[in-house]
Amino acid sequence: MSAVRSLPLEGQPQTHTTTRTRLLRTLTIITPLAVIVGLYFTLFYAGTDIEQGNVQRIFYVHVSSFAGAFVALGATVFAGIVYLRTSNPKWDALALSGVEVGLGLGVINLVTGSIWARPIWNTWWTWDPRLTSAAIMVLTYAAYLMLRSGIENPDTRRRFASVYGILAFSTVVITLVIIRIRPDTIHPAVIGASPQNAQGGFGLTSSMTTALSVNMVVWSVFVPLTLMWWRIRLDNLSQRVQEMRLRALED
Amino acid sequence: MMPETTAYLLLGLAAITLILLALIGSMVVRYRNLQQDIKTLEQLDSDS
Repeated sequence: MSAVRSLPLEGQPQTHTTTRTRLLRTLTIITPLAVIVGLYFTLFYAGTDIEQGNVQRIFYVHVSSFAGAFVALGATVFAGIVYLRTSNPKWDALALSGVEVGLGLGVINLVTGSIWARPIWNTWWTWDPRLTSAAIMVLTYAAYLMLRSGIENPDTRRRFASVYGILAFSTVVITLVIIRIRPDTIHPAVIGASPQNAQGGFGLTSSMTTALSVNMVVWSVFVPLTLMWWRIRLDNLSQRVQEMRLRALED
Repeated sequence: MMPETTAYLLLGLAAITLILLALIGSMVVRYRNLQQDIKTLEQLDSDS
């Protein structure tokens, strides 16, 4: 069992592990700073919308967090496809990290949308096509986590999760395009023309476009990348504990 | 006249902070628990 102690954390050569650890630590410092910069652009740089007041500023995070969820859940699809081809567990770890982070960002998107809707639509929630599809998306990925934790066999669990992660992405795509294909939605489009029944839309000024662009980079690159990387580290550590337990049992 | 909706903006920011903290916090707790498990297993190894 003493050999277990010398196992590298990620099964990688020590130099790779050190470089990656340094990069992750750098990202971990940069990401909160990037969120603060995004917040500065949201609160102080972008002009105030005359019709909606300050609540309109939620949109910079609302839209960007969905973009982040799209990236994270897109990574799950990619990792799922590669896992099904290679059966290498590291791709399953990436897929799982994408779901956990994508789900968190999806919840941020849903909750901020609901808070914005209260003063603008005069309701916290309505069964609008866009809102309904976003809620289904979040529930679908919450179910992914629950269902995969219920499967004991690791290979079966990983295969099931890969297929589920690929198929579940359809809910993300539907949420994205539904305001273009359902004319009865009241959800406005921030980018491009809003549906004819949209309520609460606004035109983007140059300062608003800049604020949205900065937040898009922060929430769809820095936040998902850093959180997913840490989630993968967590999975690696969990694997290490499992291996140590097995060796302890063998001894 | 511009509507006063700042309270909803603050509520939104609070919600974002809470969700992010819950996500990061759950990872930190699990990470610490696993490190504790490793320490325990190493202790068991050295005892045997």
